Amino acid sequence: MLGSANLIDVVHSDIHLERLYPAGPDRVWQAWADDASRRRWFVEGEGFEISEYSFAFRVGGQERGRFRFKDGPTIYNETAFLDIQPGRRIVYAYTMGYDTGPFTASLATIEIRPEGQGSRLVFHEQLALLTDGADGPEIRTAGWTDLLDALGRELSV
Amino acid sequence: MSPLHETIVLERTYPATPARLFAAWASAEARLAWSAPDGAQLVFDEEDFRPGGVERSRCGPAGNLMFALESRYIDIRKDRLIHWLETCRHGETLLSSCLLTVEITADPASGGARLVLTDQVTAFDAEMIAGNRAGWSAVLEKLSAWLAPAAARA
Repeated sequence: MLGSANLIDVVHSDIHLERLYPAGPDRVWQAWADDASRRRWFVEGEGFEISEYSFAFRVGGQERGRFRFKDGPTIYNETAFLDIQPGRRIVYAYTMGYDTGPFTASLATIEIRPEGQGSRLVFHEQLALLTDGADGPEIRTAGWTDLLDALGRELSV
Repeated sequence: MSPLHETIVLERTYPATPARLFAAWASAEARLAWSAPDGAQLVFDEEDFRPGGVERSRCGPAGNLMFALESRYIDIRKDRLIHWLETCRHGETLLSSCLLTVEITADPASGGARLVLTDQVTAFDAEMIAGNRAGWSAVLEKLSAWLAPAAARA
């Protein structure tokens, strides 16, 4: 992988996931854009304790959260929305870290396209792993896989 | 169009210490001297080189600064690493966003410093991928020229 060419300790990788949902693009979009819906499937995961959360869904706006998973340390997640094309696309950058600083930085794109009777969701994340012991591409991929499953459940309600 | 994703890795060795190479990136005044591509004009509106700091600049052909650049520093380790997010917009339109990593290490073989630049690009215009690669390649050459006189004096 490209990461092996690096001299210090930053590892760069890509995560790409696609899903077909039996819901129209407007409904899928609403699950990302609406505060209450997003909070259900994206924020309030099982085993997560949320201590702070705010969501300003506009270009230049931020989503900020602090949480713990089970007995783990407090982790922050800070997202900046870079581009929003309603019903079609979101581009955002986010960092995750401990109080001592970030451990990953990511640039992510979500695309929603009509397909058949439903929608195809294409998720692509470019990830930079900044410190040893951060979660890494495998764990992050597993995390997004769980989230996209949770989105599927949200859409079936 | 669908977004395009690419990772560009460029490596260079410079006849300068890691500290001097890092300093070339750490001040906007120094960057202004070597980071404007030939034939382009670059103007810094805001400078803030620290983790969490946001910088704004404009560039384009002389007299037509049509591209707005915003850099948000994520991680800075003195003489070793600079990591930042950079967006390029034309008006309201996002043309590209990039996660950039510059890693600096001493290069004992040459007595200089080695730089690895990793550019994780998401672009909405096919030309932006090639443009990023060509732009950073040109800029890293200009950095070499900017560092050379002092190295020759040393």
